[in-house]
Amino acid sequence: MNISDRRRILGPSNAKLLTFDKSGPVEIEPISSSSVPNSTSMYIENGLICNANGSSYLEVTGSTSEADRTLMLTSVYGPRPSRGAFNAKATLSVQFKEVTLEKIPAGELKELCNFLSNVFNAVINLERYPKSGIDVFLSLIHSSNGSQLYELESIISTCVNGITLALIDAGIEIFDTVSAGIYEKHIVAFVKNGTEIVGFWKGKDSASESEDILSIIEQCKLDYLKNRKAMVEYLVRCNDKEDHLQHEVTKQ
Amino acid sequence: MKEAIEIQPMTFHPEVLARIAPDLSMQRHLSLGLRPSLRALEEFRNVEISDGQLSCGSQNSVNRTGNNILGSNVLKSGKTMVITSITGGVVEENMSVHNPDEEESPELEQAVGAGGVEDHGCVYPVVEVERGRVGAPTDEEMNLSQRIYNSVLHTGLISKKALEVSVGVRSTNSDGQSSVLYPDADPSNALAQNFKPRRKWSYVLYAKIQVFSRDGPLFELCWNSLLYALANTQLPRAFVDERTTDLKIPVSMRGRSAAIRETFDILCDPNEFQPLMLSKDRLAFASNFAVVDIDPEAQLPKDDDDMQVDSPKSVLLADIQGEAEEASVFSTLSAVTDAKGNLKHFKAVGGGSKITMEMIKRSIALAKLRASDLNKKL
Repeated sequence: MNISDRRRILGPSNAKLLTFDKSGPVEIEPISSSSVPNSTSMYIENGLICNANGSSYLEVTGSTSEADRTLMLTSVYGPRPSRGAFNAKATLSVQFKEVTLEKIPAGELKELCNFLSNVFNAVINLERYPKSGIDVFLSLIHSSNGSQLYELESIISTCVNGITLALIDAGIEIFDTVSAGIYEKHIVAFVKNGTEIVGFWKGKDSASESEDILSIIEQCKLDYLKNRKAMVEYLVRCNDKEDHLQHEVTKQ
Repeated sequence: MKEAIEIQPMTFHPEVLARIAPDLSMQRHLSLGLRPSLRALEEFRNVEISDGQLSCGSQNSVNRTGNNILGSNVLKSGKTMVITSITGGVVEENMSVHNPDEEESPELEQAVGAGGVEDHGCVYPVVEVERGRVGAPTDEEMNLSQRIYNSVLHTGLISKKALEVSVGVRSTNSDGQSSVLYPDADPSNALAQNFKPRRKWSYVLYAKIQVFSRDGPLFELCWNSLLYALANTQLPRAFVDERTTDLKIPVSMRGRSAAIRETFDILCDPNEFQPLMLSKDRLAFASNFAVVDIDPEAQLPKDDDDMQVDSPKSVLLADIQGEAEEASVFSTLSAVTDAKGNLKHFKAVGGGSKITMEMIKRSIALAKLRASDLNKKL
């Protein structure tokens, strides 16, 4: 590479990144399948980023093992005025960034952002915000998946859920709470209690190639219902807490 | 024409006032004896730290495979969150004594020789501040990265020796079982001894510092976070395969037809780590301060029965936070010091308010206290 980045301090150019030896036996603690519940668990916290209009933090522990974790911070900026020609609808942009390790190739990231903006273009009431832009920033803090370097599928479903929560936190009008369900390597984003599909992602090397698409959707729907329930429960609880606080204040 | 003009007082929400008239917001708060961030004048924010279980060397790391973060830290101070991750690389040192005609790489020379601190190692930081925009790094990010880089290099926190790789040799015996021999593990081992002096490598550390919810000056937070991350950094043991130790590959070099140069693939042991040795006596923490003049006209009117106290002309504020504070202070102090008062870095900007000698002394005293507090969290 001849072009050096003068804006960042990148260190000596002849340095090589550390490569870990993969040939030897790697000490992986045996994971007893009985101790780990066979379902994903989700930790949600809204409003962590104070200078964004809305934000959400999601920590998803995977179904297979404790080591399968995705930590995602989503922030939504907008609706903010956009420059240039008049637009009757708001424009949505989705940016994805890996905060700690960078291991997802740029092409896949682009694909992922396109998928997400397609999903949310269909769900956000864009007509309500003319001449403005809504920018979504996804920061992947950590993602691990056992033997694989990364698993795009679990990241995508976390993205969909995270963006929905952040949009709700920002008070941007959406038609319904979108949530994604994951089955094998397929992801389906549903709205309206699973009666409408707003996005379908098919993983590359699915083992369930031969499986019927309808049954895949059914499986994803089950996961969707579970995820949506967790999100709605969180939001209701937050509301209750706020109401409770306000009640306390008025009492005083 | 004698119509009375009625003036309606305008009221603003504190956040709105902080944006449209930061100095007024500041002065009004100061006259109440506190700051726009509702802290006392010399009060610091609480700092919460954790390693985030992100690094592969950490005790309770959630995953070890496919993870090459060597050290990490998540620092929360107020609403601001700083995530630092340390990754590493290996660079081959030029041993000009042994190979006098080998060309020295200029990049390496520059990196180690800057400022005549040949014995100090450094970290290459990249600071990113989330602000809802995409594009090239901002001035602030570039300044922060450079300042952190310079500070790490000149404090001598990491010595060159700490970054040296003691390369082991992996040998495979006839049964197909491979074992790694490190030179420090068994000094009598002939093979390792024989191999060792010919080549020299050292670790290169990269720090990625991501800031969320920026709310005031960042150098201090980033510095402290980096320090915590370095303190829990684990360097993997590295080795080369026995078969490659005698490998000679002809490489065509600039100007010369061919030179024999050995190339090695350094591999890291995924199970064995050694902590990065920091120079303990050079561990210093950063704190910032500002000097603000009190404007007598912006003070709230005092009650008559209030005691007349001589109020000071200017005050020292610790740990700047928030829009009102950041926008209305022009004289700032920043100190990196350890608990004993060994100053490593001191920056004073006198813009507007006069920084007196007493202020400097007071700020250093506070910075020392702060450093001893933060040191306990290591």
